[in-house]
Amino acid sequence: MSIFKGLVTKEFREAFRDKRALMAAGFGIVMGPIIVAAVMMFQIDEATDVKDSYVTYVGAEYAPQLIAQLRVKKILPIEEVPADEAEKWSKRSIELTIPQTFSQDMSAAKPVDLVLLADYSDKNIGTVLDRIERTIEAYSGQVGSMRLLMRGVDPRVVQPINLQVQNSATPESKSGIIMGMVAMFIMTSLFTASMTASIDTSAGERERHSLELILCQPVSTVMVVLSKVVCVSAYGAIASILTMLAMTFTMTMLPLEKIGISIMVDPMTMLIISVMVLPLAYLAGIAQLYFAYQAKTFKEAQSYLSMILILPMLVPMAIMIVPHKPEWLNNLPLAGHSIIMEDLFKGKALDMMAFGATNLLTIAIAIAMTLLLARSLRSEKVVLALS
Amino acid sequence: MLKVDNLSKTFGDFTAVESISFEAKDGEITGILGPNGAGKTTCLRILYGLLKANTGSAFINDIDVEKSPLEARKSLGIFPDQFGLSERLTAREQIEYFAQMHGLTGKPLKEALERVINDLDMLEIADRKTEGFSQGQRMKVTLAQALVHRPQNLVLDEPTRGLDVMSTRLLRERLLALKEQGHCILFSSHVMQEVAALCDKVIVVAKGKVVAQGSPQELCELAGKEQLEDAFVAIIGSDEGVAA
Repeated sequence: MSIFKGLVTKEFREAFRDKRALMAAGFGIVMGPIIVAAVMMFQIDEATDVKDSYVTYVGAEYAPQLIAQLRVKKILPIEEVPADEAEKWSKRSIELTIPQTFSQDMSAAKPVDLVLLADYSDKNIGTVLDRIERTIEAYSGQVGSMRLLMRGVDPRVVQPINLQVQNSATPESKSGIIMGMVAMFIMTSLFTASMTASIDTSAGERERHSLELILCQPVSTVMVVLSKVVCVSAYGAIASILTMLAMTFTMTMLPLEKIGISIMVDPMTMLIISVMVLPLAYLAGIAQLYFAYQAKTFKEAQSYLSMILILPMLVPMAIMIVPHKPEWLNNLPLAGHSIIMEDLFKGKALDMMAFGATNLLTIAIAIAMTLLLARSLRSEKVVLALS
Repeated sequence: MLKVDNLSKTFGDFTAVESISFEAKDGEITGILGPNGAGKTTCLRILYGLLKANTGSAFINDIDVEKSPLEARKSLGIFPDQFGLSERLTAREQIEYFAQMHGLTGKPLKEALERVINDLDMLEIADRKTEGFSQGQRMKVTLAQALVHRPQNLVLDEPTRGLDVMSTRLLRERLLALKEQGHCILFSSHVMQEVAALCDKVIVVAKGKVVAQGSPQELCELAGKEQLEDAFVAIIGSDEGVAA
């Protein structure tokens, strides 16, 4: 035990004096909350504020009432655009053409063709086009109803069905995508934080010619591997928990209720997530060490591990989109973690079965990799980086 | 006591070591002399239990290294061919790390550290990080980490490479003192003067084989030369690597 303590002490001393590793971890912690905050601010801004939009009218003078109606809905003629937005709106070029015969045809109760010309693939103007369409439809409906009334007909006869939409989405469940993002950042920061430290203590140590001498000492490779993984996992877990706290703090600062989202992060949720982060940190650490040791050089290890870095994004996404998947896939490390975290953030109760299964599976894979790595450190190929 | 018996080791098609046998006794300094690439380091790595021999066995104090490597290494101190210090650790932490791997803890650990730091006259550098250490200072740290647990057997792989006169002298004095105390010292080198001055017994290795062994005196007589260097060239049959 005292031997193990010695090994761990050395790993911690080295890793926590490594400025590069500390910087990488800090970067992961800060980056997530900033990105989430930026995305949320943008969404809140878009969703809550209907801004003035500008349309090029051809023949506006033929339908002054329609134009007035559009003006109420903040759709204005392009001539009124303020200078700083002029370029943006002229590029978007939304054009509504009203035919010269508009009022004639209206009086004669003939159908009138208006032409709305715009690039419908441009996501930026999607909501504007929606608003224009709805305003024109509403205007058209108003005129139609008036005509029926004038002829002594109840307008309701042409509306036989009235569909009532009742949205069952709760403020919590609406937050799904965002919560998925938060979960992903918590896991990504874990991987980024432990990556630099794990390369340094494995491929780095070998390149500094330290590894060989360590493996010539009377300590088992299992102990060497465990001491390294304890240190690397601590890096990951600390970064991950700090990210969670930073995220929670950021989200409480944002006016999320404006877009109908509520976020439940009570101390219990944080505690459960912190507990769950530990096995994941162990798995991430041992996986990174394993692949870094298989690499021949420090640089090669870096390129291997940057591939592992995308797993926290890839695995949950892949599991989400696989149709007709067997149930246990939901308990895979990363996927299971992501699902549980998302549910917790949405205010659902903890699914004990899923929690147990996910963490046990994670620990089992991590232990298997630990033994595998300990064995491979007894192979001369890995120790001397022979090909 | 260190012993290798009929060691052979191949890497793919390349034979690094072929049927090497020798013994290094307690209270003696044994030198392995050979040109670059003769198989000295490979042979030592098998002795440490780092590489597995294709044939033969290596013994540290009569413990078979392949069968029980951890037990065998307990009485072994290693001075490797590359210093490989952790630059973020201080010299003391570096030595402490190796002492702990040999099971030292608490008061004995502290005492062992104080002793080795004083013995090697490195009090001034003990609490500095090893980053930026000179070659001589690195040598001291490396020697200290090999000796801190007072191993019966000490193996040094080309220890004087890159050292100045003062450091070489210090190393030589330490080795002679250890020999007096009855330790078994095995060191590989290709520097003739050093081997001639220090070794009780020399094993000459070339192309993976032992080509001669005996005291420096015996080797000179065997080759009919006066200088060890000439004897060495005559024995291995070329002057390859000697100029180094």
